[in-house]
Formats: sequence, C-alpha cells, structure tokens
Amino acid sequence: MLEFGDVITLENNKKYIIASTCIYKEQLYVYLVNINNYEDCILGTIQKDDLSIVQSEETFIEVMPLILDNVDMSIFENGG
Amino acid sequence: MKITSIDKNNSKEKMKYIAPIVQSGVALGLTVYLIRTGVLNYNNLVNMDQVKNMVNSIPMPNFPLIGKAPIELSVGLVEKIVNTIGIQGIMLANKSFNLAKDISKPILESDQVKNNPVVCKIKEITKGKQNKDKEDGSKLSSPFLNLIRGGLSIGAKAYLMATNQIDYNLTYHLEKLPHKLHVISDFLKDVDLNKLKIGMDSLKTIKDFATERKKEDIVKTPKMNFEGIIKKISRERVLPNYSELKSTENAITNYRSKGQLHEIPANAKER
Repeated sequence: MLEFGDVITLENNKKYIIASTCIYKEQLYVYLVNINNYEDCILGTIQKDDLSIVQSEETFIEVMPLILDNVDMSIFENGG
Repeated sequence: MKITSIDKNNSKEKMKYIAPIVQSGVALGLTVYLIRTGVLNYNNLVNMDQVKNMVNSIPMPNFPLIGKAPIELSVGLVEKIVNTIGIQGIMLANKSFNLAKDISKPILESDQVKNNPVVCKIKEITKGKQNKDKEDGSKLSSPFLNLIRGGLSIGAKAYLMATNQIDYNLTYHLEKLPHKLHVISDFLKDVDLNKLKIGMDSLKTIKDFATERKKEDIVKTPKMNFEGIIKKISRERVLPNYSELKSTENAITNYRSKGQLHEIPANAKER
C-alpha cells in the first residue's frame, strides 16, 4: 500500500516522494513532490500503476485539505 | 501517466526527503487557506485591499526561523495548481504571493526583528540545541528539524484556521476533530513553558510590526489569547504548576464575585 515517504518513478523518469495521501470517495489520492524540484508538485489519483492528475477545481478544493490533514507527523517523534 | 517503480523507504530514509515535504507543506497550507477564505476566487476578481488583509492575517509564528523561501516556493506551487482553474486564478495567486513577499521582506530584514531580544533568545536556544545534536552525532541537525516542524506547523495552522477549527483568537474548537490539536502540540512538545512564552512573545512582536505597518488596512486583527494557549498546553502536558494557576484563577474569580478584589487603577504609582 502506498504511504508517506515512498518514492515513485514515472515513465518520464521523474522521481516523486509521496508527501501525503487520503481516501476520498473511495479513491486513493496522493500528493507528490519532485525530489529534485520542490515546485513540481502533483495532486493525483493512483489506480494500479496509473497516475492521473486532478483536473477538477471542485475535487481539488475538496481533497487538498484532506491531504494536509493526513500529513504524517509520527516521524518527528523522539526528535526525528 | 504510468508509474514504472515504487521504492518503499524506512523512517530513516524518509528523512532524506523532508526538505521538499516541508516546503510543500507550507505552500499547501497557504494555498488551502487562500482557497478556503475565498482569496483565490476564480469567478470574481478580489480587490487588493482584501488580499492584503487576508495575507496579513495569516499567522506566521516562525518567520525568523523559516524565512522567505517557503513563500517563494508557494508562488510556483500555486501557479501549477491554479493552471487547472484559470487565468484569473493565476493572476490573483501571483499578486497575492508577491504581496506576501513584499510584506514579509522588510519585517524579516528590519533591525527591530534582528535585534529583538526575544528573537535573539529563540535563536540562542535553537543554536544550543544544534550544538547538543552535533555532540550526540546521531540525529539530523536541529535547524533542519525546526524547519520541518515549522513548515508543517504553519501549513497545519493555516489549514485549521481556514477550516474554522481554530479562530482568530487562536481558541481551539476541541469538539471538532480534537486530535488536530496534536499537530500543533507536537511541534511545541520539546518546548517547556518558559520557552513557549518566549515563542508566543515573539509571535506577538512580529504581529505588532505588521499591525503598525498596515494599521489602516487591517479590518480584522487577530487577537492572541496567550494565557489561554499556555493554559491549554499546560493542561495537555499536565505540568505541575497548572493546578496552582487554576487555584489562583479560581481565587481571583471568587474574590471578584464577592466584591473583595479591587482593581488597581492604571495610573496608580508604585510604592
């Protein structure tokens, strides 16, 4: 199962780390950050080995707060 | 787009990638905040006074430690995000974040902030922790950890404000998803009460600078309920002095209700 900290490589050879995930309307959404370019961020859904970027404004507005909500703070316990 | 590989990382390896996550955390929080508060509004152009007010009201408790970088990165992030939405959104996002940069720059560079004893104290404490970690040799550097915690804290706080879980008085609405408080208290958990007060004082200092500069523009000034925050954090951590605070507070309330406590006039001179 995909989780925070996993690194995925896309067919364009770009590598992204999963910064957060959430389930919304039974779909897995991921927030990806390019490990070499912090401005390159993607909000998308993953099904099997396919990444689809979110295009809908409505979905974006609904999902982004859930994504932020789910940021994994546990790695910072015990001083990190 | 096809995913060609997935690398699973353990906790230690994940920390290597924390910098992009921190910075995107800040950008994410700011973006969500601006969307939820209607500043990023794709149907109507928002006037710049409203944008200024909104940006000024975003709490940035870690300005001295975090710096401008997250705001600059936010510009790129918001541009990419609002590309799905429209030209107006891009123009507005650019304007608002350029404004945020303009507002923050003189504050960060001012002598008042650099020489402020509270800000210096925070830096001293941070530096002390850095040296300790260097001696330990087993942990990541503290400025990095502080950046991480600060970035996520800012993003979390912006989100909490935008979703009305905390209001402008920083009063926590615990009945709404109470575990969210831990997002903030986790950031503060290393900080003892004295340091917490220093942090809160510095927050007030920075807010005061922004207030002075934009006094005429601010429609809604965030009020900081410092004592309430300290008491809540004390309660969460069950510090030994909380019961003293509480009994003192009860005594004062009791005396007041009986008319036995007389307020000292503001112009009274000390003996």
